[in-house]
Amino acid sequence: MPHVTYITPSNETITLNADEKNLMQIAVENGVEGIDGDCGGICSCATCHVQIEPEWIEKTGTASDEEAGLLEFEDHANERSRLGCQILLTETLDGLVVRVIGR
Amino acid sequence: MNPSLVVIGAGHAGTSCCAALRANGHAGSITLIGEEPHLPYHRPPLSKIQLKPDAPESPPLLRAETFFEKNKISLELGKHVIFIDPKSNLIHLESGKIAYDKLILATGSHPLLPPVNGLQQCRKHTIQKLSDVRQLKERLEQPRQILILGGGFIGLETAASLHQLGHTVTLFEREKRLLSRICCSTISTYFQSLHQQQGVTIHCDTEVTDVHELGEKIELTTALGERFTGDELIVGTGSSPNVELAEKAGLKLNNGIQVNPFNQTSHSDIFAIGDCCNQWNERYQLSLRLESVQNAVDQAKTVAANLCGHPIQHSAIPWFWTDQYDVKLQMAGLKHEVTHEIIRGTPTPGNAFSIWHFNQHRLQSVDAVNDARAYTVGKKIIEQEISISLDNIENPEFDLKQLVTNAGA
Repeated sequence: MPHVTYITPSNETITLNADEKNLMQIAVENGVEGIDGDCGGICSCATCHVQIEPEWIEKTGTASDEEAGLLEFEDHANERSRLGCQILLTETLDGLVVRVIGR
Repeated sequence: MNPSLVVIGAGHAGTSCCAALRANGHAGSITLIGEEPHLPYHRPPLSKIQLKPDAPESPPLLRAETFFEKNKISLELGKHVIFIDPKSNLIHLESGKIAYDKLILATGSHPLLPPVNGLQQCRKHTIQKLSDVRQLKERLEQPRQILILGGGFIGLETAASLHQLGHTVTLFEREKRLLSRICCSTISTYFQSLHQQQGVTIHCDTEVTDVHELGEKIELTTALGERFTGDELIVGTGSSPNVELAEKAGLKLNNGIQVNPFNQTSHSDIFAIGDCCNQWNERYQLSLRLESVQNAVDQAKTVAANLCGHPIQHSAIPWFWTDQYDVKLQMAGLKHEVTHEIIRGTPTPGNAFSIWHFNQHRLQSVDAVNDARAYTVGKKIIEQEISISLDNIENPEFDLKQLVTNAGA
């Protein structure tokens, strides 16, 4: 099962396992600080803002136009900003590290 | 002393509230009571992906089971509350009593049946709980003729999902247009065209007066005497707040449980959040009972902060969404006292567009179809009360981002 590591706004490091779930869902189910996923994962609220660590951005890809539309006005958004709900954790992303931005 | 908190209702509002209480540092006990036997789950997928034959048995959970254990949130699932005794701070269940220092009511709402002859007795489906969807799916193993009452979000989302699964769908709406309670006429027309192009039959301005079972079939009659038959009947004609417990406890009601800006009811130890409560909205100067995930979650966070010693008033701008076919409608704000509207883009199927509703120069609401940027910008403008030049919005070449960045500069 692939695993993902979240670095929270208070610099805690949390590693979780999951299969075929998105990064928001995994974080919310397990109560990772800074990820609320208020809209349930339909790309509408930007409460799952994460930044992909530079070495992973090629594999995850950058934000789609729809995501970018929501992220543009978020504090601390940069070119590696993504919405967690739009990233499915698959075997190719095993070991992924993301930084939780929070609000 | 850490107060004991009890939440009645394990939907979006109740579950988010428990999580927010712990996130805000509440150290006392938390008990979450829910009527359904399942772990708390996401409801929006019920009318969408959950109807698909290959959908997982259960919709995604709001929190993992381990989350409740780790955070010491006691779950009392499949439990029915009989009454609350606010004088002795006790909740009476069929299986015993639970004491509380503070109580949060997140009892939600239930589908409202319209006054149609024969509807009470007739075999029918509503789409509100996981068990409703499981029951409906059992009847959908082969292509069916589906009759839907109600052209609101639930009716239309269900129509889209079932049509895409190969069923034949006919939908009846009593008002002159679809989504009349929450959308402007441009959006109504758009969704009517969208559904008709896909092949769903829609009858607006059509009052259904009678329904009854005819053997395995269901027959309905309209006010004009037209008859339609189908295999299954689905009712999506609005909801009514679950206020029985509050009423028996003597709490003040007003189309829902009346709450103040802190989501406190007329009893100082009892709070109410989500679909079941009614609250004054300062931004729109309106008394509102909202049925949305966002409102449930925002009010849950408000109560949690207040109970943890951070007094805040609920002030979030309402927003809503719906997904049908490959269309996503996102709406921010309320269409209250609208004096004029501006359409950006072409409001026909296949196009992205947005509609901006103003009261004079004040933006009241934005409806965006497949245009997340317009939705986000509009929401920011409403939240921050930024004044904007109307001419810019109509111009499709104009970069909406500038509306917010210029104002901030």
